[in-house]
Amino acid sequence: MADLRMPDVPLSWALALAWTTLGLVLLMVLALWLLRLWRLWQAPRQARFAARWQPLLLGVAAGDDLPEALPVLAAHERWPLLLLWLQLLLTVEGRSRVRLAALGRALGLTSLVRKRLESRHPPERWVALLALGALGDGQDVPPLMARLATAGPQTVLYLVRAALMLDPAQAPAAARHLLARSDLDLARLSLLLRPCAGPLGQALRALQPPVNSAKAVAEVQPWLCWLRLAHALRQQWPLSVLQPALQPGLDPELTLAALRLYQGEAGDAVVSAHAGHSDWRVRVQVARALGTIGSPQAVPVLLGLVTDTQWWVRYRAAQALLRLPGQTPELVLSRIAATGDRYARSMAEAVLAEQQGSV
Amino acid sequence: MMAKPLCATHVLVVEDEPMTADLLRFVLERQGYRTSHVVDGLAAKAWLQGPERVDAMVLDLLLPQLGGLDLLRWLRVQPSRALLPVLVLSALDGDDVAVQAFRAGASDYLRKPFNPDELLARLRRCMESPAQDLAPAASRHG
Repeated sequence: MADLRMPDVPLSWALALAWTTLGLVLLMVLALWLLRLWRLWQAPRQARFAARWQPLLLGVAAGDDLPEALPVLAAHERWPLLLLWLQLLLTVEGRSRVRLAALGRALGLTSLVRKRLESRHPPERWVALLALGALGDGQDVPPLMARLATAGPQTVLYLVRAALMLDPAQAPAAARHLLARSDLDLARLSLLLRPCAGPLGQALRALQPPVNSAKAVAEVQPWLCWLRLAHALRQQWPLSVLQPALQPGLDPELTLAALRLYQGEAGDAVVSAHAGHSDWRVRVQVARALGTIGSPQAVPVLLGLVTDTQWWVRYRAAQALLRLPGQTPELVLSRIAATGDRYARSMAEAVLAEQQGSV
Repeated sequence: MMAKPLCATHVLVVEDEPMTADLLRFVLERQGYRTSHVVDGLAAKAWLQGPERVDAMVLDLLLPQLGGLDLLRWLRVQPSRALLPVLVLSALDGDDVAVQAFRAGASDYLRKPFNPDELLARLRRCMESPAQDLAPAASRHG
């Protein structure tokens, strides 16, 4: 029979454990108490800082000229002021942004930002790069471009943004670099490079990968990177540019990338050719693209897609049908009812309710 | 139409980002508007159910508790506030965001980052538009 007795633990061990636990708890309480004290001590300082600088920053953003004499910027205020200034700078555009940039230069933030580019902490470097895009000048651009080759996947986006904000003529070199990388976070790229999407997108379009003799893509991977980057930069390219990637029988990922990018003004036949694709994600994009093109010839194709086995295909097809010019909700519902598919009808009703804001 | 003196014009700012809210209030108050500020959709709903008069609203879309679009749809079916001019100000970057905002009943739409001069011009135009132009878009399209 097994021995179920508890193992003997020496009393000294148990006491040591109890004291250690108690000590740790007390340490934690002390740390929380100190943190609270520190915050209480900081609060008036922060309030004084905000009262001193915020009206000036807000005034300049709202249209004031720079004052003749600026307040003296203490050394300990420089970094917090840079953060406050940058936050406001990213909130506004137009003349407000230009005036804020002038204020930043007048306060001597440019030298601070250039020093922080060498910081060991990536977030500090990123803040410095965001600020440099507004504060720097032509002399900052070559070092920024030179760093691209050794930068990590996040830093490279901040470098490209800063360089292009200062000199949009660097767009072709930046686009070539981004195309050559496989480690980019495209969602982050989309957000960070939005202000320079114009020149970057133009440069990207000029870098179209080769096509073969049948005018289809020569190699899948370069086309895939090119299309995905263009989509992240929210480019709207005509069908003639995308057509090589929309040839039937290509890699589904490629078809998907080209259809996602397609905003359409014509070409419903090219898009409709993929309506029977075996990959449902392609069919979703076909429905979306047909809704964007807005051609009445798309109605039979969309009526087919609204009875698809995949929920997302039916959803996008119903949205597209209700978006087509001249298709009133009553007409669309009656056409869908004629298909005899009750799931299609309930989907169209759900989309209609969603559009009218009742769900 | 006789323009209302700005000092009598009350704008509700619904914005959860402190810097943007500070800037909006600063810009509006400099122009002589009176402002109130709430930081989430539910607080805005409660405020709008109250008795205080308001002449326009600047509304962010991404709000805690209750989103801007839902607040707007709710507002447009409130008899006492249905015609309130609402300028939607949003950082959302999608093709359909502005369309959704107008469908929900926005009087105008401005994308962040924004130009304060443009915001003032659009807000003034919203308030000067005839009432039928500000009728709930949802019911017009429905």
